Amino acid sequence: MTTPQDWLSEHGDYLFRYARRRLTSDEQAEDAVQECLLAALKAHGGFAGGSSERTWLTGILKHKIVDLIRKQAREVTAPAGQNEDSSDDWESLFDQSGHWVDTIRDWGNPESELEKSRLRLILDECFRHLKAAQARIFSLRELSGLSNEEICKELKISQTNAWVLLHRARLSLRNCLDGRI
Amino acid sequence: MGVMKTCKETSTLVTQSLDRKLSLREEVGMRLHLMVCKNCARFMQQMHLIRVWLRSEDDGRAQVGLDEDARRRIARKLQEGE
Repeated sequence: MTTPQDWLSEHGDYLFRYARRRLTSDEQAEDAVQECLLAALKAHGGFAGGSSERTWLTGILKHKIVDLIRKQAREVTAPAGQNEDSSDDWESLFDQSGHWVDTIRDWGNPESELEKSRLRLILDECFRHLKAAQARIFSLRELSGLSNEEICKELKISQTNAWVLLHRARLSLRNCLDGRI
Repeated sequence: MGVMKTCKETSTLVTQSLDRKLSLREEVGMRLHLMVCKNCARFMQQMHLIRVWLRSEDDGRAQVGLDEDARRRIARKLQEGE
């Protein structure tokens, strides 16, 4: 029978990396891992086997990540989508008639695992540079796979606001990636 | 808005199509524009690549993990909880 200390030594790094991809600081990722293991400790009777221990822990971690993001969003005084995003310059990507100012480059479609892995690391790095409100919603949508309805409930924002934030997050990521690809 | 979209409108529809179902009118407008605009077609491909890369599994190559201090902090909390 494995103990919580075993979980930490065997799965700690994996869980930390998992959380780190979905949260924007190492500190938060550590909190998420800690909350996850504490919850697992309380629910130890709940692990019925079947799935692997790692899968079981990851399932708990997913919920803890969403909890953390929700908590952060509540702590921010300004409503998401205002203030923080007013300086977004995506408008400047287009000319007066709505055409792209610059040609959009062809990124190709990298086939090799090594290249894909490299691009994923760059992308993770770009994610960490997103503005906080954009990072939160993008994480819930793309990395935790929540539906739009769930996101609006978690973050207490309107559908329209959610789409605008996601649109901006996607454009920011594209720009960041485009300069480093 | 007419049926024919600008790049600015199309790029918005492209990202929104990842987060909601477009109306028939929006869908048709976007598709028509994408057929004739290489920039927007590439933009759409980039958006899909981002989604695919993000959703790919952790292969452990990031080589980051909990540092010793973090590990100790968590271990202590677990002991308290036991």
